[in-house]
Amino acid sequence: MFEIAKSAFLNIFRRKSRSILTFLGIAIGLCLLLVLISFVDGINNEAQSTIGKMQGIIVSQESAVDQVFSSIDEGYEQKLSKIQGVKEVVPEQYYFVTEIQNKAVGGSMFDQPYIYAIDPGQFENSSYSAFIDAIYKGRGLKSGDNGVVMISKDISEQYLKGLGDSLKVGSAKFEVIGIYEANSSFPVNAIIMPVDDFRENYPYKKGKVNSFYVIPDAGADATQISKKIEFSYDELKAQGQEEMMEQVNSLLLNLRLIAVFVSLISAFVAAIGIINTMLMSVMERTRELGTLKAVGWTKKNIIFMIILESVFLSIVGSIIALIIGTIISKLLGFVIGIDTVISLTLIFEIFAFGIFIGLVGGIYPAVKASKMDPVEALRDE
Amino acid sequence: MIMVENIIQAKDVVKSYVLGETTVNALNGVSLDVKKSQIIMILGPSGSGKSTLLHILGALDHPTTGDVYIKGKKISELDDFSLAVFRRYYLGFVFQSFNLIPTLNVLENVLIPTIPDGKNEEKTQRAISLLKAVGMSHRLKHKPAELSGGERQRVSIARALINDPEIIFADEPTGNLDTKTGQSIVDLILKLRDKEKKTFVIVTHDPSLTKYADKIYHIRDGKISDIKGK
Repeated sequence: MFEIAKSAFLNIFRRKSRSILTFLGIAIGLCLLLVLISFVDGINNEAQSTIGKMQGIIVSQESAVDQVFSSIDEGYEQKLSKIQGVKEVVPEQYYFVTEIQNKAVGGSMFDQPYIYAIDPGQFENSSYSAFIDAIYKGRGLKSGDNGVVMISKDISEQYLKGLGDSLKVGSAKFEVIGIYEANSSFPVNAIIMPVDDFRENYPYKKGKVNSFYVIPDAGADATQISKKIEFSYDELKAQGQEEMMEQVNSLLLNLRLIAVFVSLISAFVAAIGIINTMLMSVMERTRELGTLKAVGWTKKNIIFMIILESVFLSIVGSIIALIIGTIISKLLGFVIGIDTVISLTLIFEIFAFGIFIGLVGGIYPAVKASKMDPVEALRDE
Repeated sequence: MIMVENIIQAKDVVKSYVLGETTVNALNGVSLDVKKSQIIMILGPSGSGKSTLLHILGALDHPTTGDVYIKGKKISELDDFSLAVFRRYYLGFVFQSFNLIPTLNVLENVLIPTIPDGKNEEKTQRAISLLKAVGMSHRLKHKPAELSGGERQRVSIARALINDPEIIFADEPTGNLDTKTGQSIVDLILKLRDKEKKTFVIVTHDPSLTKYADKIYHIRDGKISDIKGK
């Protein structure tokens, strides 16, 4: 068997450029899979750690797809505070900004800058530690703050505003006191300001807020509290750590499925590439395969050799995919700001998938080779 | 019924091919016997059916009708697997264009027929001594492309002998060689018959080889037209 494997291995180096093209065909598909999955895993890691730091519960309108579009009565603040285990209820308001520094802001619904208005005293509260951890210059909002904002690094760079500079948002001017770094969990486009400043300068529905941030007592069960809120008020949606996690997981599952689907298509293309290469190789070696049969090789011996050749091609392709994929994943991750994860499981999956492609791609050419007539060996050239 | 000294026996062998709507008989009722330790030559012009006969006698192909016995074994009763195993142990092949594997060196090429059984040291030693016997021991690690035609044919003869078969089939073994090199291959064949008691079935259209044959069959239009020798 080792000898057959050795022949198979030597055979892939006969037509170097064709083998290299085949390696690449396999590598591209696997590379794509590696990059996509490493991103999904990276996003998952960051989301888990961010959500893990979130101690509170976000309460918003049941029917709203996002907090930004949610609108609920201010009056719930009182009602929510009375629920057992609730330490504090922080009203939150969002507002899409149309003008910064007297210039209209463009962008779609997803990257348009918005104001996130909150009670500065409550922001200071450790419950916002996840946000505070993201601060990379200056400080977060503090009790008694007014006329100040925290902005994302992107906004800071776009409008060239550093700490202490004044930023005009709509018609009002604010001093920048903190800059935070956006990542997969924090928006790239938020302007965080004290709620009083917000209400003074921007229109909002009287008696309405977008959402509440409910902070439980130390030791209280957040999941229990969110269940109680949803049970008591049909019109409200309560999302604690657990619910957020579920939401993120289902989103990531979809991403993962998309990644696998895209990769399957490229794997299919790779398999066709292998079949093509192997068929050509088998056809070129008609005489040689006939000779092997004439001197006593069985069909099985030949099938084994050709499938091994195909698997060797795909293993080399997998190794290339692993190297190039890791480089692309890390570079792209660095540019986008996601720490991508290339786990041992993923490496194993890439190899298993690659070998599978080689096996499947090798079957047809191998069977064809095994049926080669030994008489071919004696035919004149 | 099968006489022991007839190592190969062919009875009324017919081989026909269907070409479109007509049936062509490549062999049209050929019967012959091959005795052990003889050199048999099959001569005939191209298209006479001599190659087809070699394929059938060498258990590479089945006759359409008729029977072939090799060492008393009826070839038509063997399935693909048994035929492969049978060829491996009892038959050796020497081809006109040598058919060596270009990626393998001389020693590895000689060992090809042993690969299905797994390589072992004994076989490697045998391969080395066979290569010595054919005068190729100084080129064990060379690739076929680095050898001359005569050298390649020597390697292919060593390959045919590696499993110590009793019968060796050769299709124009000197066809691609110059006269001098061809003669050295003929000498090697004679030596193998005399010392190792090997049987040779050789297809050729080179009349100068016939003087070494124990028996000559002339083939014309799928039939034996003349037999010379005992």
